[in-house]
Amino acid sequence: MEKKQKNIGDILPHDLIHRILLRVPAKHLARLRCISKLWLPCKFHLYGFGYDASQDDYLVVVAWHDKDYHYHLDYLSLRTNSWINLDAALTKPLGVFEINYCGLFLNGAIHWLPHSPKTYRGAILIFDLKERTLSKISGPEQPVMSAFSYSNLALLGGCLALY
Amino acid sequence: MSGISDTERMITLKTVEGTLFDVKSSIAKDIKTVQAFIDDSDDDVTSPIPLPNVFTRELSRILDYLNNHHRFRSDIEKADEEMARYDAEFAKSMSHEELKALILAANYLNVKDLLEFLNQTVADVIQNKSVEFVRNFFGIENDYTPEEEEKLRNENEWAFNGVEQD
Repeated sequence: MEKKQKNIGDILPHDLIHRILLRVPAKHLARLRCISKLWLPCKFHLYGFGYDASQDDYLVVVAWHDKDYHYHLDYLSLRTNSWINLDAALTKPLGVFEINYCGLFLNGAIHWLPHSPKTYRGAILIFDLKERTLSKISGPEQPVMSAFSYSNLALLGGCLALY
Repeated sequence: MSGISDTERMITLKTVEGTLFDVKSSIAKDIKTVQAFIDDSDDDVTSPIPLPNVFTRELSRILDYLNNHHRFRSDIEKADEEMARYDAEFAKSMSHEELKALILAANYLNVKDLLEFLNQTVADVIQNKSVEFVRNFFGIENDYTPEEEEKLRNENEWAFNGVEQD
């Protein structure tokens, strides 16, 4: 009996381990990456921080994919101190991100420039903190068309800038 | 609507070992896997619902947790305080192996609040522990070569300060 139970515990699936790791503060997470190669791809890919005036709440938003490239979206509400899962709000793959990427907070929303030309060509990904929804807006028409879209997003004097 | 407390419909659940548990339908609502089974049935569910992945020890704990939380919620004034005390005791009463087994059961049965609470409990346990402890905890093999691990550890050296003794 003891042995059987032990084996069950040994096979905690990776998506569950990942959900547990989401709750570990980033400082410790960096250390825990050394545990297994399996966990290397399991890191945050898009994240951002912002203020929702309608609820007087600060949110930490995290979008990521697991090793099977299933996409997940979670946010932490500092007011209620709880993680909320928003996988259902993901209508299509976010695209693979090679780097951890902090979004920019402007006008009540967090903005990212996805590195996935196929699904989000030239578009900017937006998480609206009030509506708690993910959407995209088209980037500006490029005056000089090139094979590559913009690669960086920045805040310049209260405006979004692409370069 | 008739009174809900005394005349409430009961659902019977059956564990791997064949143990039967009678559960109020209001409690079963929090066990999403069971509720989905009930919702998908054309007729009233009268025979025991088999739970092929859930052991008696885990189901008993889950029902204990849900029953207590339902009780706390019915008394708004003291709910938060008592619930926090109960949750702390609940987490402390389990070994690490039992905790993992309960996470698997809560995940299979889709009991969201409990699963979130258990995940947080594990996160609190492992966050200050060594890499070796966490490998052991999850039963994960070290698949790094010594050189690779050394490199990673050096890159993240700052994160290794203040690690607890296992």
